Amino acid sequence: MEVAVSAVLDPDDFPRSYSAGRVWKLACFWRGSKPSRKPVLWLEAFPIAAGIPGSRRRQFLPKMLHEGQRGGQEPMSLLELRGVGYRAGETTILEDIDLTINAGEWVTIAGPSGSGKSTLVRIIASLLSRTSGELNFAGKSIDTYDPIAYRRRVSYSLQQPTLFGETVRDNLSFPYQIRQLPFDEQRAVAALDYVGLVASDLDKAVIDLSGGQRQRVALLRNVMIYPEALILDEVTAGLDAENKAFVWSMIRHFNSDDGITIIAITHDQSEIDAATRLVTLTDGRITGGTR
Amino acid sequence: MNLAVNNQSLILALGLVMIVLAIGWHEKLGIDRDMIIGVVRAVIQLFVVGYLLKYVFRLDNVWLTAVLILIIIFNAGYNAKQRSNGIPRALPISVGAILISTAVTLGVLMLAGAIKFMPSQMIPISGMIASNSMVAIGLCYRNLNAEFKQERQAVLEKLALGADLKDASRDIVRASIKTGMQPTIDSAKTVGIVSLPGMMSGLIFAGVDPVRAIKYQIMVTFMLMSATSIGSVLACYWAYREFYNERKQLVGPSN
Repeated sequence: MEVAVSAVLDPDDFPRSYSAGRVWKLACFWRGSKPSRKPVLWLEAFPIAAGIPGSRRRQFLPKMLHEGQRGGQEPMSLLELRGVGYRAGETTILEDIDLTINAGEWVTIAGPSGSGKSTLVRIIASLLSRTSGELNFAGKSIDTYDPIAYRRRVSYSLQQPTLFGETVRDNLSFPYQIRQLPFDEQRAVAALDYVGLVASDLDKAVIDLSGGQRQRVALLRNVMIYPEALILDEVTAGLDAENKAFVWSMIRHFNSDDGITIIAITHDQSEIDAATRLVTLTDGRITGGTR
Repeated sequence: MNLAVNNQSLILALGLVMIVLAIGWHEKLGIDRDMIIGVVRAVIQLFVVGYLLKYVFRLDNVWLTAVLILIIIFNAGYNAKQRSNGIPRALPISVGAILISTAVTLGVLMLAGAIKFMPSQMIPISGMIASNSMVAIGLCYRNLNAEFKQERQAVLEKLALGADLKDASRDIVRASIKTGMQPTIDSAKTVGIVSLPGMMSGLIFAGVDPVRAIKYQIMVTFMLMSATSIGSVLACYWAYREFYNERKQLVGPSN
Protein backbone atom coordinates (compact mmCIF):
# COMPACT_ATOMS: atom_id res chain seq x y z
CA MET A 1 0.00 0.00 0.00
CA GLU A 2 1.55 3.24 -1.11
CA VAL A 3 1.43 6.03 1.41
CA ALA A 4 0.15 9.38 0.25
CA VAL A 5 3.22 11.52 -0.19
CA SER A 6 1.70 14.59 1.28
CA ALA A 7 -1.46 13.76 3.07
CA VAL A 8 -1.32 16.92 5.16
CA LEU A 9 -0.23 20.01 3.34
CA ASP A 10 0.50 22.39 6.11
CA PRO A 11 3.92 23.99 5.93
CA ASP A 12 4.00 24.06 9.72
CA ASP A 13 4.16 20.30 9.72
CA PHE A 14 7.40 20.10 7.81
CA PRO A 15 10.18 18.08 9.38
CA ARG A 16 12.77 20.38 10.88
CA SER A 17 15.53 18.81 8.82
CA TYR A 18 13.89 19.96 5.64
CA SER A 19 13.92 23.58 4.71
CA ALA A 20 11.80 23.82 1.52
CA GLY A 21 8.68 24.54 3.55
CA ARG A 22 10.44 27.26 5.46
CA VAL A 23 11.76 28.76 2.22
CA TRP A 24 8.24 28.83 0.87
CA LYS A 25 6.87 30.36 4.06
CA LEU A 26 9.58 33.00 3.94
CA ALA A 27 8.72 33.76 0.32
CA CYS A 28 5.04 34.10 1.23
CA PHE A 29 5.92 36.28 4.17
CA TRP A 30 8.01 38.49 1.85
CA ARG A 31 5.04 38.80 -0.48
CA GLY A 32 2.86 39.59 2.52
CA SER A 33 0.54 36.69 1.85
CA LYS A 34 -0.48 33.69 3.91
CA PRO A 35 1.41 30.58 2.84
CA SER A 36 -0.78 28.70 0.40
CA ARG A 37 -0.50 24.99 0.42
CA LYS A 38 -0.18 23.49 -3.02
CA PRO A 39 3.30 24.72 -3.99
CA VAL A 40 4.71 23.22 -0.82
CA LEU A 41 3.89 19.80 -2.22
CA TRP A 42 5.95 20.56 -5.31
CA LEU A 43 8.78 22.12 -3.38
CA GLU A 44 8.88 19.01 -1.31
CA ALA A 45 8.79 16.59 -4.22
CA PHE A 46 11.90 17.85 -6.02
CA PRO A 47 14.54 17.22 -3.38
CA ILE A 48 13.08 13.80 -2.72
CA ALA A 49 13.14 12.92 -6.41
CA ALA A 50 16.67 14.29 -6.73
CA GLY A 51 17.75 12.29 -3.71
CA ILE A 52 19.07 15.36 -1.92
CA PRO A 53 20.28 14.39 1.57
CA GLY A 54 18.00 15.66 4.32
CA SER A 55 14.89 15.48 2.18
CA ARG A 56 12.56 12.66 2.98
CA ARG A 57 9.20 11.28 2.22
CA ARG A 58 6.37 12.83 4.23
CA GLN A 59 4.80 10.63 6.81
CA PHE A 60 1.16 9.77 6.65
CA LEU A 61 0.61 11.68 9.87
CA PRO A 62 3.22 14.29 10.63
CA LYS A 63 4.92 13.88 13.96
CA MET A 64 4.05 17.28 15.26
CA LEU A 65 2.23 15.71 18.15
CA HIS A 66 4.07 12.99 19.87
CA GLU A 67 3.99 11.66 23.38
CA GLY A 68 7.32 11.47 25.15
CA GLN A 69 10.77 12.00 23.75
CA ARG A 70 11.64 10.44 20.45
CA GLY A 71 14.82 10.42 18.51
CA GLY A 72 18.15 11.25 20.04
CA GLN A 73 19.36 8.82 22.64
CA GLU A 74 16.58 6.26 22.83
CA PRO A 75 17.38 3.24 24.96
CA MET A 76 17.63 0.05 22.97
CA SER A 77 15.08 -1.88 24.98
CA LEU A 78 11.78 -0.10 25.26
CA LEU A 79 10.06 -2.71 27.38
CA GLU A 80 11.72 -5.22 29.61
CA LEU A 81 9.80 -7.91 31.49
CA ARG A 82 11.70 -9.96 34.08
CA GLY A 83 9.88 -12.85 35.73
CA VAL A 84 6.51 -11.14 35.38
CA GLY A 85 3.60 -13.08 36.85
CA TYR A 86 -0.07 -12.44 37.46
CA ARG A 87 -2.34 -14.23 39.89
CA ALA A 88 -6.06 -13.64 40.32
CA GLY A 89 -6.87 -15.06 43.76
CA GLU A 90 -5.60 -18.63 43.71
CA THR A 91 -5.40 -18.86 39.92
CA THR A 92 -2.08 -18.29 38.20
CA ILE A 93 -2.68 -16.58 34.88
CA LEU A 94 0.87 -15.60 33.97
CA GLU A 95 4.11 -16.97 35.30
CA ASP A 96 7.73 -16.05 34.91
CA ILE A 97 7.49 -14.00 31.72
CA ASP A 98 10.86 -12.79 30.44
CA LEU A 99 10.62 -10.60 27.39
CA THR A 100 12.59 -7.71 25.99
CA ILE A 101 11.05 -5.54 23.30
CA ASN A 102 13.27 -3.05 21.53
CA ALA A 103 12.15 0.33 20.24
CA GLY A 104 10.78 0.05 16.73
CA GLU A 105 10.38 -3.71 16.92
CA TRP A 106 7.30 -5.69 15.88
CA VAL A 107 6.43 -8.50 18.26
CA THR A 108 3.64 -10.93 17.48
CA ILE A 109 2.09 -12.74 20.44
CA ALA A 110 0.29 -15.99 19.70
CA GLY A 111 -1.11 -18.83 21.74
CA PRO A 112 -4.34 -20.69 22.47
CA SER A 113 -7.35 -18.99 24.07
CA GLY A 114 -6.94 -18.53 27.80
CA SER A 115 -3.15 -18.68 27.61
CA GLY A 116 -2.82 -15.22 29.15
CA LYS A 117 -2.09 -13.14 26.04
CA SER A 118 -4.61 -10.41 26.84
CA THR A 119 -3.55 -10.34 30.50
CA LEU A 120 0.07 -9.91 29.41
CA VAL A 121 -0.67 -6.99 27.11
CA ARG A 122 -2.97 -5.40 29.70
CA ILE A 123 -0.08 -5.50 32.16
CA ILE A 124 2.18 -3.91 29.54
CA ALA A 125 -0.54 -1.31 28.89
CA SER A 126 -0.76 -0.60 32.65
CA LEU A 127 -4.43 -1.56 32.79
CA LEU A 128 -3.48 -4.35 35.20
CA SER A 129 -0.62 -4.56 37.66
CA ARG A 130 1.65 -7.61 37.69
CA THR A 131 1.64 -9.52 40.95
CA SER A 132 5.31 -10.51 40.64
CA GLY A 133 8.42 -9.68 38.63
CA GLU A 134 9.77 -6.51 37.14
CA LEU A 135 8.50 -4.45 34.23
CA ASN A 136 10.68 -1.64 32.92
CA PHE A 137 9.81 0.96 30.32
CA ALA A 138 12.61 3.00 28.75
CA GLY A 139 14.98 1.76 31.42
CA LYS A 140 12.81 2.65 34.42
CA SER A 141 10.28 0.63 36.39
CA ILE A 142 6.73 1.14 35.15
CA ASP A 143 5.79 1.98 38.76
CA THR A 144 7.80 5.20 38.51
CA TYR A 145 5.59 6.52 35.69
CA ASP A 146 2.27 8.23 36.12
CA PRO A 147 -0.15 5.63 34.66
CA ILE A 148 -2.02 8.18 32.53
CA ALA A 149 1.17 9.63 31.00
CA TYR A 150 2.49 6.11 30.44
CA ARG A 151 -0.68 4.99 28.63
CA ARG A 152 -0.33 7.93 26.28
CA ARG A 153 3.10 6.57 25.34
CA VAL A 154 2.11 2.91 25.24
CA SER A 155 -1.29 2.87 23.58
CA TYR A 156 -3.48 -0.21 23.63
CA SER A 157 -6.24 -1.10 21.21
CA LEU A 158 -8.64 -3.57 22.76
CA GLN A 159 -10.24 -6.52 21.07
CA GLN A 160 -13.54 -5.60 19.38
CA PRO A 161 -13.30 -1.92 20.17
CA THR A 162 -16.37 0.17 20.79
CA LEU A 163 -16.64 3.65 19.37
CA PHE A 164 -17.52 6.52 21.72
CA GLY A 165 -20.22 9.11 21.40
CA GLU A 166 -22.23 9.69 18.27
CA THR A 167 -19.89 10.50 15.42
CA VAL A 168 -16.47 9.69 14.01
CA ARG A 169 -15.41 13.18 15.14
CA ASP A 170 -16.23 12.30 18.76
CA ASN A 171 -13.74 9.46 18.47
CA LEU A 172 -10.92 11.17 16.65
CA SER A 173 -11.14 14.26 18.86
CA PHE A 174 -11.01 12.19 22.06
CA PRO A 175 -7.19 11.97 22.20
CA TYR A 176 -7.04 15.78 21.93
CA GLN A 177 -9.83 16.33 24.41
CA ILE A 178 -8.11 14.29 27.12
CA ARG A 179 -4.89 16.27 26.60
CA GLN A 180 -6.78 19.58 26.54
CA LEU A 181 -5.46 20.25 23.05
CA PRO A 182 -7.48 21.79 20.21
CA PHE A 183 -8.76 19.18 17.78
CA ASP A 184 -6.61 19.06 14.65
CA GLU A 185 -9.32 18.59 12.06
CA GLN A 186 -6.92 18.75 9.15
CA ARG A 187 -4.93 15.87 10.55
CA ALA A 188 -8.14 13.92 11.20
CA VAL A 189 -9.24 14.41 7.60
CA ALA A 190 -5.83 13.25 6.37
CA ALA A 191 -6.07 10.21 8.60
CA LEU A 192 -9.57 9.41 7.34
CA ASP A 193 -8.37 9.80 3.78
CA TYR A 194 -5.57 7.40 4.52
CA VAL A 195 -7.96 4.71 5.75
CA GLY A 196 -10.27 5.08 2.76
CA LEU A 197 -12.84 7.41 4.31
CA VAL A 198 -13.63 10.93 3.23
CA ALA A 199 -13.71 14.26 5.05
CA SER A 200 -17.50 14.25 5.34
CA ASP A 201 -17.27 10.96 7.24
CA LEU A 202 -15.94 12.97 10.16
CA ASP A 203 -19.54 13.77 11.04
CA LYS A 204 -20.87 10.37 10.12
CA ALA A 205 -22.74 8.53 12.86
CA VAL A 206 -20.70 5.65 14.20
CA ILE A 207 -23.67 3.30 13.85
CA ASP A 208 -23.57 3.86 10.09
CA LEU A 209 -20.00 2.56 9.76
CA SER A 210 -19.26 -0.95 8.56
CA GLY A 211 -17.30 -3.35 10.77
CA GLY A 212 -14.09 -2.68 8.86
CA GLN A 213 -14.57 1.08 9.01
CA ARG A 214 -15.22 0.92 12.75
CA GLN A 215 -12.00 -0.98 13.26
CA ARG A 216 -10.06 1.57 11.21
CA VAL A 217 -11.54 4.52 13.10
CA ALA A 218 -10.86 2.80 16.42
CA LEU A 219 -7.25 2.26 15.41
CA LEU A 220 -6.90 5.86 14.27
CA ARG A 221 -7.89 6.94 17.79
CA ASN A 222 -4.70 5.31 19.06
CA VAL A 223 -2.47 7.10 16.53
CA MET A 224 -4.02 10.57 16.25
CA ILE A 225 -1.20 11.48 18.59
CA TYR A 226 1.59 9.00 18.00
CA PRO A 227 2.45 6.69 20.87
CA GLU A 228 5.85 5.06 21.22
CA ALA A 229 4.39 1.60 21.33
CA LEU A 230 1.07 0.33 20.04
CA ILE A 231 -0.46 -2.79 21.51
CA LEU A 232 -3.04 -4.51 19.34
CA ASP A 233 -5.32 -7.18 20.71
CA GLU A 234 -6.63 -9.20 17.77
CA VAL A 235 -7.47 -6.06 15.87
CA THR A 236 -8.36 -7.94 12.70
CA ALA A 237 -10.58 -10.57 14.33
CA GLY A 238 -13.95 -10.71 12.63
CA LEU A 239 -12.84 -8.70 9.59
CA ASP A 240 -13.00 -9.99 6.01
CA ALA A 241 -9.80 -10.64 4.06
CA GLU A 242 -9.81 -7.26 2.36
CA ASN A 243 -10.28 -5.26 5.57
CA LYS A 244 -7.74 -7.45 7.33
CA ALA A 245 -5.12 -6.71 4.66
CA PHE A 246 -5.94 -3.01 4.86
CA VAL A 247 -5.61 -2.82 8.63
CA TRP A 248 -2.32 -4.74 8.58
CA SER A 249 -0.89 -2.47 5.91
CA MET A 250 -1.82 0.49 8.13
CA ILE A 251 -0.04 -1.08 11.09
CA ARG A 252 3.00 -1.99 8.97
CA HIS A 253 3.20 1.63 8.00
CA PHE A 254 3.10 2.81 11.63
CA ASN A 255 5.94 0.42 12.36
CA SER A 256 8.24 0.81 9.38
CA ASP A 257 7.74 4.46 8.47
CA ASP A 258 6.93 6.01 11.82
CA GLY A 259 8.99 3.73 14.04
CA ILE A 260 6.15 2.83 16.39
CA THR A 261 6.88 -0.35 18.32
CA ILE A 262 4.12 -2.88 17.64
CA ILE A 263 2.99 -5.61 20.01
CA ALA A 264 0.23 -7.57 18.31
CA ILE A 265 -1.81 -10.49 19.56
CA THR A 266 -3.17 -12.65 16.80
CA HIS A 267 -4.84 -15.97 16.12
CA ASP A 268 -4.47 -15.63 12.39
CA GLN A 269 -2.06 -18.24 10.99
CA SER A 270 -0.97 -16.06 8.07
CA GLU A 271 -0.09 -13.25 10.47
CA ILE A 272 1.80 -15.71 12.69
CA ASP A 273 3.70 -17.02 9.65
CA ALA A 274 4.60 -13.49 8.60
CA ALA A 275 5.83 -12.49 12.08
CA THR A 276 9.35 -11.16 12.30
CA ARG A 277 9.43 -11.93 16.00
CA LEU A 278 6.98 -14.37 17.48
CA VAL A 279 6.26 -15.07 21.14
CA THR A 280 4.06 -18.05 21.91
CA LEU A 281 2.23 -18.28 25.22
CA THR A 282 0.78 -21.49 26.63
CA ASP A 283 -0.85 -21.68 30.06
CA GLY A 284 0.61 -18.36 31.10
CA ARG A 285 4.20 -19.15 30.15
CA ILE A 286 6.31 -18.34 27.14
CA THR A 287 6.71 -21.68 25.46
CA GLY A 288 8.68 -20.63 22.47
CA GLY A 289 8.56 -18.89 19.19
CA THR A 290 10.95 -16.11 20.15
CA ARG A 291 13.13 -15.41 17.21
CA MET B 1 -57.76 22.58 63.58
CA ASN B 2 -60.27 20.32 61.91
CA LEU B 3 -58.35 17.05 62.21
CA ALA B 4 -60.30 14.23 63.78
CA VAL B 5 -57.96 11.26 63.91
CA ASN B 6 -58.37 9.57 67.27
CA ASN B 7 -57.35 6.13 68.48
CA GLN B 8 -60.71 4.67 67.57
CA SER B 9 -60.55 5.89 63.98
CA LEU B 10 -56.99 4.57 63.72
CA ILE B 11 -58.11 1.13 64.81
CA LEU B 12 -60.89 1.24 62.24
CA ALA B 13 -58.38 2.34 59.58
CA LEU B 14 -56.46 -0.80 60.43
CA GLY B 15 -59.31 -2.50 58.57
CA LEU B 16 -57.61 -1.29 55.37
CA VAL B 17 -54.53 -3.31 56.27
CA MET B 18 -56.80 -6.31 56.86
CA ILE B 19 -58.14 -5.96 53.32
CA VAL B 20 -54.59 -5.97 51.94
CA LEU B 21 -53.68 -8.95 54.12
CA ALA B 22 -56.77 -10.82 52.89
CA ILE B 23 -55.82 -10.15 49.26
CA GLY B 24 -52.25 -11.25 49.95
CA TRP B 25 -53.42 -14.44 51.64
CA HIS B 26 -55.97 -15.23 48.93
CA GLU B 27 -53.54 -14.62 46.08
CA LYS B 28 -50.72 -16.41 47.94
CA LEU B 29 -48.43 -13.44 47.46
CA GLY B 30 -46.30 -14.51 50.41
CA ILE B 31 -45.95 -10.97 51.68
CA ASP B 32 -48.25 -11.19 54.72
CA ARG B 33 -45.35 -11.63 57.16
CA ASP B 34 -43.48 -8.67 55.72
CA MET B 35 -46.62 -6.59 55.76
CA ILE B 36 -47.41 -7.33 59.41
CA ILE B 37 -43.82 -6.53 60.38
CA GLY B 38 -44.06 -3.32 58.33
CA VAL B 39 -47.30 -2.23 59.98
CA VAL B 40 -46.07 -3.00 63.49
CA ARG B 41 -42.75 -1.23 62.88
CA ALA B 42 -44.45 1.81 61.38
CA VAL B 43 -46.81 2.16 64.34
CA ILE B 44 -44.06 1.76 66.95
CA GLN B 45 -41.55 4.02 65.17
CA LEU B 46 -44.13 6.76 64.62
CA PHE B 47 -45.33 6.64 68.23
CA VAL B 48 -41.75 6.85 69.52
CA VAL B 49 -40.93 9.70 67.18
CA GLY B 50 -44.16 11.49 68.04
CA TYR B 51 -43.38 11.50 71.76
CA LEU B 52 -39.73 12.31 71.12
CA LEU B 53 -40.61 15.29 68.91
CA LYS B 54 -43.12 16.51 71.46
CA TYR B 55 -40.38 16.50 74.09
CA VAL B 56 -37.78 18.13 71.81
CA PHE B 57 -40.17 20.83 70.62
CA ARG B 58 -41.06 21.70 74.17
CA LEU B 59 -37.38 21.80 75.20
CA ASP B 60 -36.46 24.01 72.20
CA ASN B 61 -32.70 23.53 72.65
CA VAL B 62 -30.35 24.46 69.79
CA TRP B 63 -27.83 21.72 70.53
CA LEU B 64 -30.40 19.00 70.89
CA THR B 65 -31.97 20.08 67.60
CA ALA B 66 -28.59 20.00 65.90
CA VAL B 67 -27.82 16.55 67.30
CA LEU B 68 -31.18 15.25 66.07
CA ILE B 69 -30.52 16.66 62.61
CA LEU B 70 -27.11 14.97 62.57
CA ILE B 71 -28.71 11.68 63.59
CA ILE B 72 -31.20 12.02 60.73
CA ILE B 73 -28.34 12.73 58.32
CA PHE B 74 -26.27 9.81 59.56
CA ASN B 75 -29.22 7.43 59.26
CA ALA B 76 -29.94 8.66 55.75
CA GLY B 77 -26.28 8.22 54.83
CA TYR B 78 -26.22 4.74 56.31
CA ASN B 79 -29.30 3.76 54.31
CA ALA B 80 -27.86 5.19 51.10
CA LYS B 81 -24.67 3.20 51.77
CA GLN B 82 -26.73 0.00 51.98
CA ARG B 83 -27.69 0.56 48.35
CA SER B 84 -24.11 1.04 47.23
CA ASN B 85 -23.57 -2.66 46.62
CA GLY B 86 -20.02 -2.68 47.89
CA ILE B 87 -18.67 0.66 46.65
CA PRO B 88 -15.72 1.34 48.98
CA ARG B 89 -16.05 4.28 51.39
CA ALA B 90 -19.76 4.57 50.57
CA LEU B 91 -20.63 5.52 54.18
CA PRO B 92 -18.45 8.65 54.46
CA ILE B 93 -19.35 9.61 50.89
CA SER B 94 -23.09 9.27 51.57
CA VAL B 95 -23.00 11.01 54.94
CA GLY B 96 -20.83 13.80 53.51
CA ALA B 97 -23.06 14.32 50.47
CA ILE B 98 -26.25 14.34 52.55
CA LEU B 99 -24.69 16.60 55.18
CA ILE B 100 -23.62 19.18 52.61
CA SER B 101 -26.84 19.01 50.58
CA THR B 102 -28.91 19.40 53.76
CA ALA B 103 -26.71 22.18 55.16
CA VAL B 104 -26.73 24.20 51.93
CA THR B 105 -30.47 23.83 51.44
CA LEU B 106 -31.32 24.61 55.05
CA GLY B 107 -28.88 27.51 55.02
CA VAL B 108 -30.49 29.10 51.97
CA LEU B 109 -33.99 28.57 53.37
CA MET B 110 -32.96 30.19 56.66
CA LEU B 111 -31.23 33.10 54.95
CA ALA B 112 -34.32 33.61 52.83
CA GLY B 113 -36.36 33.68 56.00
CA ALA B 114 -38.52 30.77 54.87
CA ILE B 115 -37.77 28.80 58.02
CA LYS B 116 -36.36 29.56 61.45
CA PHE B 117 -33.90 27.59 63.54
CA MET B 118 -36.51 26.06 65.80
CA PRO B 119 -36.98 22.31 66.27
CA SER B 120 -40.56 22.21 64.99
CA GLN B 121 -39.36 23.55 61.64
CA MET B 122 -35.79 22.35 61.37
CA ILE B 123 -36.35 18.69 62.22
CA PRO B 124 -39.20 17.90 59.79
CA ILE B 125 -37.57 19.90 56.99
CA SER B 126 -34.18 18.24 57.58
CA GLY B 127 -35.90 14.86 57.45
CA MET B 128 -37.53 15.68 54.14
CA ILE B 129 -34.29 16.94 52.64
CA ALA B 130 -32.14 14.10 53.94
CA SER B 131 -34.58 11.39 52.86
CA ASN B 132 -34.85 12.75 49.33
CA SER B 133 -31.11 13.14 49.13
CA MET B 134 -30.76 9.57 50.39
CA VAL B 135 -33.05 8.18 47.70
CA ALA B 136 -31.24 10.18 45.02
CA ILE B 137 -27.82 8.98 46.19
CA GLY B 138 -29.06 5.39 46.34
CA LEU B 139 -30.17 5.68 42.72
CA CYS B 140 -26.82 7.20 41.80
CA TYR B 141 -24.97 4.26 43.35
CA ARG B 142 -27.14 1.74 41.59
CA ASN B 143 -26.58 3.49 38.28
CA LEU B 144 -22.83 3.82 38.82
CA ASN B 145 -22.57 0.09 39.48
CA ALA B 146 -24.72 -0.82 36.49
CA GLU B 147 -22.96 1.55 34.11
CA PHE B 148 -19.43 0.64 35.14
CA LYS B 149 -20.39 -2.98 34.49
CA GLN B 150 -22.10 -2.30 31.20
CA GLU B 151 -19.59 0.25 29.91
CA ARG B 152 -16.52 -1.60 31.16
CA GLN B 153 -15.06 -2.00 27.66
CA ALA B 154 -15.53 1.69 26.81
CA VAL B 155 -13.96 2.77 30.11
CA LEU B 156 -10.98 0.47 29.51
CA GLU B 157 -10.59 1.85 26.00
CA LYS B 158 -10.60 5.40 27.27
CA LEU B 159 -8.01 4.53 29.91
CA ALA B 160 -5.93 2.71 27.29
CA LEU B 161 -5.92 5.87 25.19
CA GLY B 162 -4.51 7.78 28.16
CA ALA B 163 -7.66 9.37 29.53
CA ASP B 164 -7.59 10.37 33.18
CA LEU B 165 -10.21 8.93 35.50
CA LYS B 166 -12.55 11.86 35.09
CA ASP B 167 -12.52 11.67 31.29
CA ALA B 168 -12.89 7.90 31.34
CA SER B 169 -15.91 8.09 33.68
CA ARG B 170 -17.52 11.34 32.54
CA ASP B 171 -20.46 9.79 30.63
CA ILE B 172 -21.18 7.37 33.47
CA VAL B 173 -21.05 10.09 36.12
CA ARG B 174 -23.37 12.33 34.10
CA ALA B 175 -25.87 9.53 33.52
CA SER B 176 -25.81 8.67 37.22
CA ILE B 177 -26.37 12.25 38.36
CA LYS B 178 -29.34 12.45 35.99
CA THR B 179 -30.72 9.18 37.34
CA GLY B 180 -30.45 10.47 40.90
CA MET B 181 -32.26 13.71 40.10
CA GLN B 182 -34.87 12.28 37.75
CA PRO B 183 -37.58 11.33 40.29
CA THR B 184 -37.49 14.81 41.87
CA ILE B 185 -37.66 16.49 38.47
CA ASP B 186 -40.51 14.20 37.39
CA SER B 187 -42.48 14.85 40.55
CA ALA B 188 -41.85 18.61 40.22
CA LYS B 189 -43.41 18.41 36.76
CA THR B 190 -46.52 16.69 37.98
CA VAL B 191 -46.93 18.37 41.32
CA GLY B 192 -50.47 19.66 41.69
CA ILE B 193 -51.62 17.84 38.56
CA VAL B 194 -51.15 14.23 39.55
CA SER B 195 -50.52 14.51 43.25
CA LEU B 196 -51.05 16.97 46.02
CA PRO B 197 -47.84 16.33 47.90
CA GLY B 198 -47.47 15.59 51.58
CA MET B 199 -46.67 19.01 52.93
CA MET B 200 -49.43 20.76 51.01
CA SER B 201 -51.98 18.05 51.75
CA GLY B 202 -51.05 18.15 55.42
CA LEU B 203 -51.52 21.91 55.64
CA ILE B 204 -54.84 21.81 53.75
CA PHE B 205 -55.88 18.94 55.99
CA ALA B 206 -55.02 21.02 59.04
CA GLY B 207 -57.24 23.82 57.75
CA VAL B 208 -54.69 26.15 56.16
CA ASP B 209 -55.81 28.21 53.18
CA PRO B 210 -54.76 26.30 49.98
CA VAL B 211 -53.17 29.42 48.52
CA ARG B 212 -50.92 29.64 51.55
CA ALA B 213 -50.34 25.90 51.46
CA ILE B 214 -49.04 25.98 47.88
CA LYS B 215 -46.42 28.53 48.84
CA TYR B 216 -45.00 26.01 51.27
CA GLN B 217 -45.17 23.37 48.58
CA ILE B 218 -43.29 25.58 46.13
CA MET B 219 -40.61 26.02 48.76
CA VAL B 220 -40.48 22.27 49.30
CA THR B 221 -40.17 21.65 45.54
CA PHE B 222 -37.22 24.05 45.26
CA MET B 223 -35.65 22.66 48.37
CA LEU B 224 -35.88 19.03 47.21
CA MET B 225 -34.47 19.86 43.80
CA SER B 226 -31.52 21.56 45.40
CA ALA B 227 -30.97 18.75 47.90
CA THR B 228 -31.13 15.93 45.35
CA SER B 229 -28.95 17.71 42.84
CA ILE B 230 -26.25 18.64 45.37
CA GLY B 231 -26.42 15.16 46.92
CA SER B 232 -26.23 13.40 43.52
CA VAL B 233 -23.40 15.51 42.17
CA LEU B 234 -21.28 15.14 45.29
CA ALA B 235 -21.93 11.42 45.73
CA CYS B 236 -21.24 10.63 42.04
CA TYR B 237 -18.06 12.70 41.88
CA TRP B 238 -16.76 11.21 45.12
CA ALA B 239 -17.84 7.65 44.39
CA TYR B 240 -16.64 7.14 40.81
CA ARG B 241 -13.00 7.22 41.93
CA GLU B 242 -13.70 4.19 44.08
CA PHE B 243 -14.06 2.10 40.92
CA TYR B 244 -10.34 2.54 40.28
CA ASN B 245 -7.24 1.60 42.22
CA GLU B 246 -4.22 3.75 43.05
CA ARG B 247 -2.57 2.81 39.72
CA LYS B 248 -5.64 4.29 38.01
CA GLN B 249 -6.84 0.89 36.83
CA LEU B 250 -10.50 -0.06 36.65
CA VAL B 251 -11.25 -2.51 39.47
CA GLY B 252 -14.96 -2.22 40.20
CA PRO B 253 -17.79 -2.92 40.36
CA SER B 254 -17.06 -5.71 42.79
CA ASN B 255 -19.88 -7.92 41.50
